[in-house]
Amino acid sequence: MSQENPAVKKLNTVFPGVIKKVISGWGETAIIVDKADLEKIGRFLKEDPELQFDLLSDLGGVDYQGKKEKRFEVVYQLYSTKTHQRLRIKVEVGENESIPSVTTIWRAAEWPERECYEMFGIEFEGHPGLNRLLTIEEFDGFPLRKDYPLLGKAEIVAGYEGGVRWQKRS
Amino acid sequence: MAEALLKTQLRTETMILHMGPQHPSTHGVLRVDLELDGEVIVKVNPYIGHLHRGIEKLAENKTFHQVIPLTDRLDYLSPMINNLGYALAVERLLGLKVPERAQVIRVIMAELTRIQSHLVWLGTHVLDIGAMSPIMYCFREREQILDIFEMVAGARMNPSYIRIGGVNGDLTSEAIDKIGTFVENFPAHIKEYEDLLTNNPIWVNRTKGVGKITGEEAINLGTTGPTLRSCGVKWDLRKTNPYSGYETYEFDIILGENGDVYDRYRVRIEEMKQSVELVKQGLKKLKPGPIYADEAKVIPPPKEKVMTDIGALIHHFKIMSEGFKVPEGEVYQAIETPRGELGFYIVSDGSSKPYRVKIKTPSFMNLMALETLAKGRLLADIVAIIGSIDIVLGEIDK
Amino acid sequence: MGLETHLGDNILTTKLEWLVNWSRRSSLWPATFGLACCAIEMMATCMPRYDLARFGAEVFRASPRQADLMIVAGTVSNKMASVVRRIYDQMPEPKWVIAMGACAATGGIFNSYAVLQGVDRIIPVDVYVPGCPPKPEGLIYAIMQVQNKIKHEKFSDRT
Repeated sequence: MSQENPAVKKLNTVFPGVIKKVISGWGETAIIVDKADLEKIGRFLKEDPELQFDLLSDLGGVDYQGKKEKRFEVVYQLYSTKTHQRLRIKVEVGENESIPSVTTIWRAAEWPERECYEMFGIEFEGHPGLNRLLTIEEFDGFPLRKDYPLLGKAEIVAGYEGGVRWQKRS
Repeated sequence: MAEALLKTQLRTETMILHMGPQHPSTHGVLRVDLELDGEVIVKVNPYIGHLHRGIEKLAENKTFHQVIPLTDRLDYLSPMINNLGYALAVERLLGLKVPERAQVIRVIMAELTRIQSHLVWLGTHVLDIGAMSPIMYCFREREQILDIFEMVAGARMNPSYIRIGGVNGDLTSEAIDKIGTFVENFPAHIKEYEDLLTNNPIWVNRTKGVGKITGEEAINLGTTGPTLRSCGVKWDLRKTNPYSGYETYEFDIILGENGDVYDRYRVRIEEMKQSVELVKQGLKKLKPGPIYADEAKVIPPPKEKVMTDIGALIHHFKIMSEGFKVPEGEVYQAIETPRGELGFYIVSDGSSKPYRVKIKTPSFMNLMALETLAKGRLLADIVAIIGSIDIVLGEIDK
Repeated sequence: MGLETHLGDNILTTKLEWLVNWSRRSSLWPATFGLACCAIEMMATCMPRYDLARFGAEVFRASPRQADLMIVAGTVSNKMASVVRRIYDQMPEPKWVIAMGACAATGGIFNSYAVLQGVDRIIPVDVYVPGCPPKPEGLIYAIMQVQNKIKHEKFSDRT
C-alpha cells in the first residue's frame, strides 16, 4: 500500500528525495517531510490534475516530549473531493522552532493554525494574525503540552460586583 | 452652502457593533464583532472560545472507554453520531469486527439523530428570522424521537449508547414498533413544514440570494456538509467513503444550486426525507444476532452475569478499571454528521490511555466562512446567515 | 420599597407581603442564559409537551434588565465567567438564580484548566438541579422550588 499509493509515486517522480519516510497501516498512508519543502509539496498536491487534494480536512499538533528527537509534530490531513483519497503529511518541528504557514494554499488552515499555536506554542510564519483563539487573552502557558498540568495553573475563586477574582493554584 | 455643511458635519466612519456572547440568535455563546457602514456589513470578526472545556486534554487522562461520555458532549445535538465516529476509530486501531445487527442498529440510531438535529435547526433558524409557529411543531416531533432514545438507551440526550465493539443494549420489540410508527407518520409532518415555508413570499424574500458562496471558495475554506452540498458539490462521506454498512443502503445525495440560505434550507429538508428512507431500510435489515463483538479482552460480559458470577465480575472490573491496551499506531476516521465531516485522529502509544485525540469538528471550519458569506449584506441578514450555517458552539470550542 | 419598613410587623404588612410574593412568583420571567447541552433541555421545557408558560414564565427575555430569574444552563468556562457576573449585575432586584445541570453546579465531568468548578463561586445560587442534562420535569420542579422560596419571603430580607 505504501509504494502503490498514487500520491507517493507521483511525489517521488516530481520531487525525488523529498519524502523522508512513508508510514502505512490500517488502510492509510502518511508521509514525513521536511518543513522547508512543505509549501512546494502542498501546492503541488493541490494543483496537480491527477491528485487534486483540494480540501484540508484538519491540521493539528502532537507533543512527543522525550519520545522523539524533535519535540512536536504538525499533522495535515488532506482529502480530495474528486478522487476521494486521503493523505496525511507530518512535519517535525523542534521546540522554539517555527514552520511556514499554508494559509496561502488552503484558507481552511487559518483557525486550526491559531489553535495549534495557542495549545503548543508552535509559530507559523506568514499567518495573517496569530493570536489566541480558544482561551482567554491573558492565558499564560500552552495547555496541550505534556508538562502542563490538567487542572491548570490558576483558577477563579470568587466574584464581586464588576468582575471575578483569580488565584494561583498551589 | 448645503454641500459645505454636509462635508463638515456628516460623519461617515464605520461603526462597530458587538453581538455579544449572550444573544438569543447566536445559537450558543458566540461573540461577533460587526463593522457597519450604515446598515451594510463591512467586516465580520467572530470570537470563539467561551465554551472551551479542554476535552482533548481530558481525553489524554482517561482510558479509551471513559472518553465516550466526553464525545457525547461535543456536538450536543447529535450525540450518537459523535459516539459512532470515536468508536469506529478505536475499532480500526484494535482490528475489531462489529457484528451485523449492531451495525444496522447504529445506522438506525444515526439517522434518527440526523432527523432530530435537523428539526432543532429548522425550529431555531425559522424562529430567528421571525416565524414563531414551526418551532412548536418541530419540537413536538422531536419529543417522539427522544422517547425512542429513552426507551433504547436510557437517556434523552447524551446517551453514550454506541460503545467500542457494538451497542449497549438491544432493541426491544416495543422500541421497534415505536420506530415503525414514527417513520410512518413523519413524512406528513415534513409536508406541514414545507407548506408553511417553501413558497411563502416572506420566507423567500428573506432567504433567496442571501449569503451566497461558490463551491470552490467553500472547499478552499474547508466547508463540509449541507453547507457545501448547497453550492452544488456532490460529496457525501456516507457514499464516497462508507462506514458501518452504508454501502448496502440506497439513498440520494441532495444538491443545491446557488449556495444561498434558501438552498441550504431545501437541502436539509430533503435530507430529512432521505433519512426516513434509510431508517425504513434499516428496520427491514434487522436480523437476530449478537450486538457486541466477540473479543473478551475489550468487551465486558453482560450485566446479568456480572451480578451473579464471580468470574464475570472480575473480568468486568479489570476492563473498567485498568482498561484494555490498544496497539501502537495512529488512525484518522471521518464520518458524516448533520453539520459536515467529523474526524477523530487518535494516536496510541500501546497503553490503555490514548496519547493524543485530535477532534476535527465541522462547525469550526464552517464558521470560518462567515466573513465571506456576510460581506456586503445588510444587518438583518447576519442572523439568517449564522442560522443557516448550523453551528453548535460545543463543537467549535471543544 | 421603603414604605413597609415604617409600617412595622403587623397584619397590614403580612397581607401586603402575601400579595407582593404572589405576584412575583406567578410571573417569573427567565433571562435566556443557555450555554451548552442544558440549553436544549431548557428549550424543550418551553415547548408544547412540558409547557413552562403555565407556571408564569410566559416569555424568555433576551435582555437581562427585563428579567428576574437567571437559569445558568450549561458549562461556565473561565472565559465566560466574567460575562456571567456582568449579566447578573445587570439584572435588577429582586432576582433569583437556578444552577441547572452538573456543570453549572460543580463543574460536571470537566475538571480541567478551562472550566469554572461551579457557578456558585461567582454568583449566589438559590436552587441546584442535578442531572446531565436534567429532564425537563427536573427543571420544572426547580422552578416550583424557587416559587416556594419566594412564597415565604419577608420584606426585611430584601432591605
